[in-house]
Amino acid sequence: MDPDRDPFPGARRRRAWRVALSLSAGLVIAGGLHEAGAYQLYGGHGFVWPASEQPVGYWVANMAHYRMSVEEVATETRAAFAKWESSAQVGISFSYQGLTNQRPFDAFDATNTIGFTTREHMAELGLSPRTLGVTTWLTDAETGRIIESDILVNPSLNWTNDPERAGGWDLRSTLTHEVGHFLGLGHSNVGRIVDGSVLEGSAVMWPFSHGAGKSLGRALTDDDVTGASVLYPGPGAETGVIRGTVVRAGSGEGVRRAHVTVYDPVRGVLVGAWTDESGNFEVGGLADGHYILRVNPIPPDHSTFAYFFLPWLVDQDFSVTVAPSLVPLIGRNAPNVRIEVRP
Amino acid sequence: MSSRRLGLAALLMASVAGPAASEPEACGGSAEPKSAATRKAEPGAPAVLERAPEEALFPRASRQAGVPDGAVFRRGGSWTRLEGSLLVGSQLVDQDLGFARNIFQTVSAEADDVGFGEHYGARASLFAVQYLGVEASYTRTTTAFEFSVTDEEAGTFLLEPLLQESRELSLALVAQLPLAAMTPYAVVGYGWRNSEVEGGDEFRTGAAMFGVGLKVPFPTIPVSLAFDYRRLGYPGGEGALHLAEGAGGAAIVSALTMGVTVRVGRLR
Repeated sequence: MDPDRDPFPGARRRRAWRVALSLSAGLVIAGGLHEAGAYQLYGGHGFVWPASEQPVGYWVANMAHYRMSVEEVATETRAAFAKWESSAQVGISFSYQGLTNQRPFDAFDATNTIGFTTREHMAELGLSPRTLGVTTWLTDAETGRIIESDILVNPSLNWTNDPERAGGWDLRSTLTHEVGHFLGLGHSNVGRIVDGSVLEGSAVMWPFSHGAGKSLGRALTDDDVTGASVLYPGPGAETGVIRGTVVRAGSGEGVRRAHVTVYDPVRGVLVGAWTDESGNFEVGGLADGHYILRVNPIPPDHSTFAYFFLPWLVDQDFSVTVAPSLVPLIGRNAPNVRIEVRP
Repeated sequence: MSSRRLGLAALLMASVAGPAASEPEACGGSAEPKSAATRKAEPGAPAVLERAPEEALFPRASRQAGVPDGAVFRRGGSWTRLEGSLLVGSQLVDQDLGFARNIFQTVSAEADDVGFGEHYGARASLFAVQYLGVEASYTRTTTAFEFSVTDEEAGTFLLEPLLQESRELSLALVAQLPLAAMTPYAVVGYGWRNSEVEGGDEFRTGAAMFGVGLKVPFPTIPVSLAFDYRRLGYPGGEGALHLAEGAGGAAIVSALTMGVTVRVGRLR
């Protein structure tokens, strides 16, 4: 396991239940940070719901929004969960349990609660009003087993279930992102902003929203599905792996927290991953093919915290680099890749 | 297409011995020319060629009655029933693999022309009559695909080529016009191609084939030089490597080969 991928360094050695806070959703204000990458895994296997817990039950908080009824919130929530179940590559199932009076973010209540909370509760938790939503995990830090998870949605925004027509923020898009965290996924760096807008094709798990009036965040990308399939392999999951190292040209020093994307131009599949503290990376869940590898740093105008990395453990002083050769992934195996980057 | 390469064709010499249409000694034929050419030699001494060169090249024993001596325009005597060829050459390839794009990059790819020596194989022809026959051909070809990556932040790069190994089998009808100094011919048929991209994906496709060629026989041995052009238009889609968007990888292949044809047996 990569300890730097552990949001709670040091805790893994202790057999204790730990609460993990995963800031997820997009930023409300345009011009915020934007990055995309790959899925993040915990302990090499990620935070996961054990198979014995499936279908994973969840409840919707019995709190209406000023623009949406509780029933509409529940409908959008169920649609968000169903999106992640719909891929044959992903082997997880959920079960809607109904409404609950439990508040999201109340840990140890044995209830996976999804929905709105009060503004006072938001302030009490110290969450930014720019945050669309937040997901918490209660996990066994030793095994990565998820015990409980809640999703909280910022009630101060003008949410809607029909953003193109009614305007406002698309609740389903934000919940789809948060459910990705609920599954155990971290933030992806597969995303890009041009002229203030997040490009279509950016991963759902990229930490920034497409913005108000858009529902583009409802559609999972290959990066999202691949990440989920690594955690929960479904019958259609691919199992090929590309491994390698990103190093500095000359010194050979490993580059920490570089973002590596692998792209199969034949199938049009783009998946990303992060290097560890030694510059090693591993991208799983891939089909056989020939891949173009690209390495980029977290842009300097992005906070490394958006990707759950501490700034002093991240190298950002190198240029975007494209590997000179296609990497063949044949029979689920690929040669070990070494990519040299320069300042 | 980007850079196109077309290698010069070269000759493969075959060592197969056998009778030929212009060889009088073939199939138990008369040994007269040989004995005439060595008539004045002393026993045990090397043979001395006394006949004029034209006579040696086109000995009377090989001519048929009623056939004029204008050998350049009409070949007298028998025709070959079976021919075997070894060939080597190159290919002009027009194959656009289309493009693919993601939020970071746009990728395009196309096939390079096949350089000389990267296309080779063998061919066999059977002629039931003098002017018509059937032909089977087997060739192997190495095609290089050139990938261009335009990255929004890193610029444009050409990646190292991706290689595809293809095995091609074709069956065709052959129409030829045997002349004394050359045999022009045309072929029409169908070719099947099985390709594998560097141990990865396999593709099978097929296409109608047509071509023309010229066989130039050596005068005293049952061997001809063959110059051949063939054109196939392979469809794209499932039977071809192609990228996620745009063109489906359809390929127009023009194969240029030179080879050696050995004539085996004759009809009469």
